[in-house]
Amino acid sequence: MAKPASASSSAPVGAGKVVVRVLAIVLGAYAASAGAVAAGVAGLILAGVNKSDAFTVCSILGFLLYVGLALWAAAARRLVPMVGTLLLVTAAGTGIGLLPTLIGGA
Amino acid sequence: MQAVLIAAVLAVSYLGFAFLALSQDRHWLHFSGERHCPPRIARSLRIAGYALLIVGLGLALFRDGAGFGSLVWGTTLTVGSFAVVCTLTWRPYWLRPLALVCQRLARRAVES
Amino acid sequence: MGASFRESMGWLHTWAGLVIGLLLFAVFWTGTLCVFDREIDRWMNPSTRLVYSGEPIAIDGLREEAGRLSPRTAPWAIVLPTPREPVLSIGYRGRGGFERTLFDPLTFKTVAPAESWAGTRFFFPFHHTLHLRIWHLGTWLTGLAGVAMMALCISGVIIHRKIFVDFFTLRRSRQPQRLLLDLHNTTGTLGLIFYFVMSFSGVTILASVYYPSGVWVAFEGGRSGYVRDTYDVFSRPHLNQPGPPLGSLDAMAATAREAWGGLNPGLVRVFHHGDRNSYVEVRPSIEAEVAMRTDPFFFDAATGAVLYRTSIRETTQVQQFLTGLHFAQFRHWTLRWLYFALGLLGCVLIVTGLLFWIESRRKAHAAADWKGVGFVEGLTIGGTGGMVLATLAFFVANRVLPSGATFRGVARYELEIWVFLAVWVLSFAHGWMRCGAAWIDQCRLVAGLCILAVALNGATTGDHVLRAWTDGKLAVAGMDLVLLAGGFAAAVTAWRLQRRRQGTAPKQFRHHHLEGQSS
Repeated sequence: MAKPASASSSAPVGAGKVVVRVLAIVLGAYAASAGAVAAGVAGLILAGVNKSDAFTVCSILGFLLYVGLALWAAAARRLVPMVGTLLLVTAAGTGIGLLPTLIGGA
Repeated sequence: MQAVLIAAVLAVSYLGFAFLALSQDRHWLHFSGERHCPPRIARSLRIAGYALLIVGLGLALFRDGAGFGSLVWGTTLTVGSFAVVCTLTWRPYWLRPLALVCQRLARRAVES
Repeated sequence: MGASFRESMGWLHTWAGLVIGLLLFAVFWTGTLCVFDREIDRWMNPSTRLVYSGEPIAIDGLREEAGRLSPRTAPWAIVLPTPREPVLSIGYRGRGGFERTLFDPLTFKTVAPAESWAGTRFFFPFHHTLHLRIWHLGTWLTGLAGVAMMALCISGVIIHRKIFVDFFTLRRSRQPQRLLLDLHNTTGTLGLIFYFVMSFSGVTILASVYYPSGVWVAFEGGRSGYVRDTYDVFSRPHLNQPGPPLGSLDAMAATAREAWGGLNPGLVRVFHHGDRNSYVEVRPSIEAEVAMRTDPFFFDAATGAVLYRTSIRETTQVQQFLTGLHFAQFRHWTLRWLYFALGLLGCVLIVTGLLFWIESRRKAHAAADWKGVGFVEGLTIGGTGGMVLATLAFFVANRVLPSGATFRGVARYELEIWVFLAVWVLSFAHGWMRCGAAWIDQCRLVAGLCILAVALNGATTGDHVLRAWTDGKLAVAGMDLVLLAGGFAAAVTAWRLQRRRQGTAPKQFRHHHLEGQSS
């Protein structure tokens, strides 16, 4: 299902940008999906769902989210907003994920 | 009985995909010499093909139950379609009788 | 990473496929072998080639033996025989890792220990850890490969220009490039669901490893908390007070069997043997249904009273279904062979993808005097053909090394693994040295090793195909037959590649470097 060699001869892109994009696809998309899983688990638990149910559902969906985000990170036209969004999702997800501990601790 | 049923699942999947292949212009041309598969024939071939695939699902579920049956059906789909591809590539004349029958039916349909 | 969405997907598919391709092949190949892991075990450990009788087995006679074998504190388990694993084993976690003693389930006489790691201890861990245990590196790499495979499946569908028109098209083209692309497209499209479901179910098995974020939010104590809560594991502490002797394990197994609706127990495990708080876990055999069900009963060791019955939540049952359909440890021979066939198809998919990358760039790289194609070709030869060769060398080494062989303190099973690794590394070197011709050499070697393995099996154990078949050792006969078929396919491929290389091929095939089969 590959396409002919023309893929390799698209407009030249700086090496730095390629490195950033590859990192965004592999690590950024993972971090964002992990953040979303944390947020999802926290949200469901706060909504009264059983812990095991919350984790199993969110982690299984998390893999699909990872794949989706990775494809999007590869396709996004502009680099900076894409990286920014991934970082934002990661940060927000981590924040929401910490909520149950904070509430429980308070 | 079990062996007969699995053979039937495989055969139905193969036949279903063979119908679907014949409904495509490229393969219809190959067998009949006509450039396009007449739309009426193409539609009935497609309906027959999908129907056979569903029959395969029914047989698989009957043989193995929901869990194993769905897996058997999913994997035999690949095996059946790949077998059709190999037939079309290396032994296309095996499918000629099938094409002839379809053509004859088509002609009769046009005449009536 | 491209002008249009489709071009960026093309970029992703090309380069992710190239970089991850060899890792994916290693995972796919070992996964395909693991479909028959227990059969490989029987072949490589001849002492375990027993014939399953199907009789229910009374295990009370093993209680003393088991208590004597294992260290006082560690839990020990009796693993009951199945048609694919006809020996009964008593296992416990000893000082040197997990130790097992094997018994003939009919006579309760000990059977010579398994001397090879074979399928379940070599190929299976290779499939999901690559035997790289430092920082769980291998687990993360295979997880990445799984996710990459899902991304490759989706991007492949997006960049396929005429997925429906080309659905049944495999042209016998003059150009290797055309044929490789057609093969890659058809094997990819037709097996798409299988590859996607397998990679998806593969990563979900270890969801608690890959998403520690979610685990830490939900469970106290991280992963152990996850296991305790989700699988509803019962435990009670060791009291350090001697207790009454162990009650009847058979009675406990019978109670459990009745509650499971006649399902046979697969494992009976005793915790804190001899202690006042000792208890017994009885688990069902996993071969009856797709889902890898853990539905254990816990009994008081002395009285046999039910202490606890685990209940598994519905979401976890879904995950166990995914796990089970990936592990394929169920008893369903049709499905097992279908998995094997589709696994091989996946190997062809990966090899043709890599070869297409090479062939479509060969001219351009030669013109620009780049070394890229040569380097990748060597890598591909070592990573795919070399993997197959290493597997076969592993089998041959197993039959050549005498029982109890050691070399400079290295045990027999380790020697086999060293042979595997050495052949694998050498085949990379061979690929870089001989380039395109290496395919022919390796196909010939594969054919030779297949036949050698079958011959050595017959010579060293006496279980040649006919005798193994008539004795009911179908695992052994089956593996021999698969090896012979693979050897035949490799020989034919070598012969055709050779003809093509010499230019004596029929007209429509006048081109070199065609990979016919990856076997």
